[in-house]
Amino acid sequence: MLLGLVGALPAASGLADSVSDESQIAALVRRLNQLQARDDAKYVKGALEQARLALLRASTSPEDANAASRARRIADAALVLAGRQLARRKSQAELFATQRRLTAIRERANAQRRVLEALMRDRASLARSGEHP
Amino acid sequence: MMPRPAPLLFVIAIAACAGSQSARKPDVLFATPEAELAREHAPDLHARAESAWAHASDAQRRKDEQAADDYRTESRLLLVAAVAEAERIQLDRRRTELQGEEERWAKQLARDQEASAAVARDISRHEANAIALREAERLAALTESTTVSAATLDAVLTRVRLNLALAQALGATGEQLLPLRERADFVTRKRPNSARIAESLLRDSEILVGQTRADWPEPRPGASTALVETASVTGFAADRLGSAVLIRSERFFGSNGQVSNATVRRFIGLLEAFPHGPVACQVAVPELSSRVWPRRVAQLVERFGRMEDPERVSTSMVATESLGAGTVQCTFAAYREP
Repeated sequence: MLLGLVGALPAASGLADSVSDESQIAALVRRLNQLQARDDAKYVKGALEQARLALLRASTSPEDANAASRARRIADAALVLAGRQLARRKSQAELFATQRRLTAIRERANAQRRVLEALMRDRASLARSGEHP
Repeated sequence: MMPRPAPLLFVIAIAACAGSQSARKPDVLFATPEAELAREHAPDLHARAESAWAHASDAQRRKDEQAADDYRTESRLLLVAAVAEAERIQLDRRRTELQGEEERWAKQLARDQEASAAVARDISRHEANAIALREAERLAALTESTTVSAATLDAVLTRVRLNLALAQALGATGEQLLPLRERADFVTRKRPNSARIAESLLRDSEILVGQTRADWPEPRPGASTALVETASVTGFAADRLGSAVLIRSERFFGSNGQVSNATVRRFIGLLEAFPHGPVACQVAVPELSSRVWPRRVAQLVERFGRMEDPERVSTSMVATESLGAGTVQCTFAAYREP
C-alpha cells in the first residue's frame, strides 16, 4: 500500500525537492518492508506501525512540506527504534542461550568433579589397605 | 489533512512523560538512569534525540504546537532506540562474560574427565593386582595348611584349568591331559577340603606344562613372563632381569630354622614347570663363619638333591645384610627375553 502511495506522490514546492522527498520516502518504505519481512517483526509491531502511519502522513501532506519532513523524520526514528529493539531482542535470546549452556555445563562439571573425588577416595583407600602395587 | 498518529511506543520513562506537561521538560526525559546509560553507550542516537528535543523547544517558543509535538515524538523514539541500543551492548557484554565462564567450566570438565579416566584405570590396575595377590596368597597357603578353603580350592581349580589349556597349546597329547582333567572334574564335583589333594593336582598340572615345555630345545618367547607370573601366584617373589628371572622367598626356612617341606615342594614344582637351563640358588646368611647357617643350608641342599635332576640346581651361601637371614634367591638363567 505504501509503495502505491509513494508512486502517487504529488509534486511539492519544487521539482528537485520533490524528487528528493520521494526518494527519501522510497528509502524509508524499503527499510519498513525489510523489517516487516523479518520473522521476528511481530515483536516490534508498535514501532513499525508508527513508521507506517508517519510515512502515510508524509506522502499525503504535500501541501505542508515542513509537516511532511517532520513525518519522515518520525518514520525514520521509528524504523531506527524497530531495528535497535530487534537487535536487543536477538542479543537477549543469545544471552539466555548462553546462560542455559553455562548452567548445563556447570552441572556436568560439578557432577564430574564429584565422580573424580569419589574415585580419588577409592584409590586412596586402596593404597591405604596395602593393595597398592 | 489526516490526523497525526499518536506515538505507539511507550516505554520506561518516556511512557511516564508522554502527553503531559512534564514531557516538555528535557531534564525529566533525559535524566532517567536509562537515558544516562544511552548517553554513554549510544551517544549518536542520544545526540539525535537531544537535537530533536531542541527543535521541539524552538517550535514551542514559536507557538507551533504541531511541530513541537512532532519533534517531541521523534525525540522520544530516538531516545528509546538509544536505550535499546545501550541495553543491547550491555547484554552482549554480559554474554561475552558468560561465554568466558562457560569456557572455563568446559576446560575444568575436560580436565576432570581425563583425570577420572586415569584414576579409574589406576583403580582397575590396583584391583586386578589385589585379585592376583589374593590368588597368590591362597595358593601359597596350600603349603601352610592341611585343609583348603572354598576360595582357595576355586583358585587352584582355575589355575589347573589354565595349566591344562597351556599344556594343550604347547602340544600335550590327549593321553597326557585326560587323567588330569578327570582329577580336576572330580575335585570340582566332590570339593574335598584336603590341601594335599589340591596341591598335588596343581603340581601335577604344572609338571605337565613343564614336560611339554621340555620338548623344546630352549624356552619359547614369553616363557620368562610366564615364569614370573607362575612364581608370583605360587607365593614367590619374582623379578625379570635382563638376562634371567630371579625367584626369591623367605619361607624356605621356618622360624625354627628347619627347611620347609611345603616351600621346597612348591619350588620343585616350579622347576619342573620351567625345565630349561641351570638354576643357581643363594642363601642369604648374616655371616659366613656362623655354625648355624651352614648346617641349615646343607639340609636344603640335601632336599634339592632328591629331585629328579639334582644337577640342575646349585646352592651356595652369601653373607649379606640386604636380605633377611635365610632368604633364598634362585636365578633361572635360561629364561631371558631376546
